[in-house]
Amino acid sequence: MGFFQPKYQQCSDESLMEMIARRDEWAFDELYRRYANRMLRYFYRMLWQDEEKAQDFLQDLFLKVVEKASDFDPGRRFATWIYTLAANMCKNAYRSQQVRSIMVRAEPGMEGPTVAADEGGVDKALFQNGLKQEIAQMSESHREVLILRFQEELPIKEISEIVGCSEGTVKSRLFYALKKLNGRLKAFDPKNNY
Amino acid sequence: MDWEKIIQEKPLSALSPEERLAMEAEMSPEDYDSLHETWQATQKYFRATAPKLEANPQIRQQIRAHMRELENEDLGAKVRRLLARRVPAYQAVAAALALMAMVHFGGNLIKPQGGSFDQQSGFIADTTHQDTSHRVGYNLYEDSALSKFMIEAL
Repeated sequence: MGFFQPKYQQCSDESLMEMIARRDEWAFDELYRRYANRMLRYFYRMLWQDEEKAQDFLQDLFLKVVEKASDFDPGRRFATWIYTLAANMCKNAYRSQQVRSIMVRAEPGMEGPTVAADEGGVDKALFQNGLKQEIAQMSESHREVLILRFQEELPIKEISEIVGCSEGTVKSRLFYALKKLNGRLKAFDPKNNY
Repeated sequence: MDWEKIIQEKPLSALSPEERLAMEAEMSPEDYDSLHETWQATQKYFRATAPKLEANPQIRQQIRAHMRELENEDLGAKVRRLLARRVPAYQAVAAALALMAMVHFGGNLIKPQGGSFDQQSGFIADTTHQDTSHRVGYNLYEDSALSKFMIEAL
């Protein structure tokens, strides 16, 4: 990196995007460092814990980021924009026959690797595995808000921008998802299991 | 009242009388309590089971290579745009006038010094013999097209 190059680590995501639009590879490196693992985890949860698929989606996502950099409005928050791109990619994937066939294939193991009992007892492992299965079986829209809220820890306002609906709808989906989890997991006592 | 924040942070026993009244208008105390517990459990579950994944390092390299391709395409597109640009009529007219002037002046746009007869030139226009400036003017040398025309006309 040259002496007169900007200090990329101190740049905001939005100004890095402006530099990427001018094909600045160092700016891309910095943005990639900030978001790659985070977006990979998002895809992994959204796409039935298929790591290979998540890596493919990550590549496609960053290709879009680079190609659409000049269309990005620097007045908008970059995090919201990239999650919107990622959420749309997942929606398209759900629609495609290819992913549907993966769902069918993956259904028996859709919940991913089970939590080992020695991490804190049989009850805890059962509870966590039950939770994992419930999340995997939720509808896309409920799983989406649950992952954005609990994994990505995004505020409701931002989630509403990402999924393209009102804050009220997001809250309602979130509570519905929680109630569903609560209802299904009554067999386990959450008080003792987390 | 921000129910999301309250359910997230407070168990039933920690609710203020106001919050408890508002809560009871919405749901039963049992529902509130179990919702609070599910919220906490879900949050802990997500934190505890966050997948430890690393992005494939090849992805970064491939995208950097793609950026270089895009940069080359940008440069190619700029050149193509420049070449495809239509030359305005005034440029063509200016070019034609410049060509005519070059033919007309015989390539010599500088008036010679006065009194140098050895140049086989006629001082038709310049009779002062004192003008030592190098002003640009009509070439009236006998070899120029205009002087030939004038001689023939005379």
